[in-house]
Amino acid sequence: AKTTPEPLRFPTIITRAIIKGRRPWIPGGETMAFFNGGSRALVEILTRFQSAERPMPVDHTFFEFGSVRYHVQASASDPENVYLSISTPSLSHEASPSTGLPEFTLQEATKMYHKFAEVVEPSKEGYALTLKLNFSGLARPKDRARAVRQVSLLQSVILGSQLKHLLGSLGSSGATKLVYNHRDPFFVSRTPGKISAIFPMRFRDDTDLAVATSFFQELQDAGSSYARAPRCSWSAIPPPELRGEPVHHLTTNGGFVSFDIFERHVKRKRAAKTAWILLNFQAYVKYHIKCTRNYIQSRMRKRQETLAEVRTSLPPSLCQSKKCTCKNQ
Amino acid sequence: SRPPPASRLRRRRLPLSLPHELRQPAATPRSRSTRSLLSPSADPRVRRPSVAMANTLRLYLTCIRNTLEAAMCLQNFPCQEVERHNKPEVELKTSSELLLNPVLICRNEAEKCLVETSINSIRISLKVKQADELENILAKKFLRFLSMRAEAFQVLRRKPVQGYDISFLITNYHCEDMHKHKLIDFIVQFMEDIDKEISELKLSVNTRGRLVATEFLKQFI
Repeated sequence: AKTTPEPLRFPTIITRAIIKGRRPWIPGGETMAFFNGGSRALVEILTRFQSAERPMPVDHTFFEFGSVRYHVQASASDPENVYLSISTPSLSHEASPSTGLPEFTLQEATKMYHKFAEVVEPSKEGYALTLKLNFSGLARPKDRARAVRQVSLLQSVILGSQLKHLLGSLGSSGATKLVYNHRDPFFVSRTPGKISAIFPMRFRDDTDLAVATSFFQELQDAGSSYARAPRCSWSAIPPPELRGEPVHHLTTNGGFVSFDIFERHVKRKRAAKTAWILLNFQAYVKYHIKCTRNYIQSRMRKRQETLAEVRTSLPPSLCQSKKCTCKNQ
Repeated sequence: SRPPPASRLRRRRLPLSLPHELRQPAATPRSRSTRSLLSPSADPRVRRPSVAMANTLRLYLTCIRNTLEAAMCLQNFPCQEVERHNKPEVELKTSSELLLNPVLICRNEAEKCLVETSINSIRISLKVKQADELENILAKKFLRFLSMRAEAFQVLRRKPVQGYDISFLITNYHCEDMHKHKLIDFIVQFMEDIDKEISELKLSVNTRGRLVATEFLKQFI
């Protein structure tokens, strides 16, 4: 019997979600809330602490993205003050997480959270920054919830401030290497009028490379449809902005992905968001590859079951001939 | 007296010089099934293949089907070398009188099918179309996935023949357990399903990439 292949359903689901304006769920993976700037764990801890009926001691240490460490501490005797410490990798090799953050980053954090937090000097041992949070000045629960969400963006504020300073130190033109993830460094190049973020892409597996290459091609094509998004380009060879860099930094198997950032992408509050999106680009690509591999595997398994069902449905032969030597006789 | 099986096979051997050229055996009467073994371009009953992919695929599958119908005449034959053993002679290839000439059917340079027949077994090896790197990877993954689960298909070989992507091994026991024409239908349908699945996988991967890229760029807006 002729087997008809299963209809391809997920593009319809995705298209409907896009039309309705909702964030689509891509089968085989979680939603893209994973890459939002805020820390969901921090929001949950602080919200639970505030909504507790009786003052309770809190002492949480947790990690995010494998390299960001948070510590939340509060005592029952002093329920109004919560101490939040953070240790995040620095964007450049020169600064180390334990030596503390530079002055401009502390000023940025103070400016952002002055309504309900103050910077504690010196910071807790092993951490780059410690904030003393006090939400008692915020009477409305809505204001407190907004304040908790702002605190959850602490890491993106720190990284945005560091990136701004590094770009400023480049002058009108120049390139520098950033090491947000020490395994996957990337480059930022400044030219008059624009900033280019260049990502050398490396993959260990041929399958990852094939899926990623297809994704980069689609990214390049989709960039032309959205005029307000940064212009994206992919090339197999290092772009001219990276001339002079050491060869081992430019050896890749996935090529180079470049984003051209203009002034409109970093105006006012967009700078932190743009910085956060670019800093997580490589993690985003790896997550997409992981979900695609999962989808391919489940689809192959389903197809194999369908084909095996067809095989087992083949009827047995009924041999009636006397000369037949088959087992059924 | 009845001639021994080996001499009977020798008369039926098809002398081939080119892989894709099938000639009629001299001693055997020209039957309906052997006539259809002619290549599609030589057979006057077959329309000239058009440029459309569907027509060439149809002709390719028809040629394979006709070859299998003619070649799948299997019977039980105990091993001549080892007593009380019964092995598929197409795998051993120790006795040349038990083997028929292999038939290679090529759709194009990238797609081909090799049919090797012996007295008690037939081996069918397929090379699947792979247009680009992504299709190459997907085909390799999918066919390896199927080969590792060969016990679910019974007639599938765990390891493909060198130079091919997937192989089937059909023995006389399979022919006794299942209808021959159904078995051939299964193999031809299997080939179609593999092609379809690889094309759909590639389309799915590209569609996913497009959607994810769109969502990524929307974050900047």
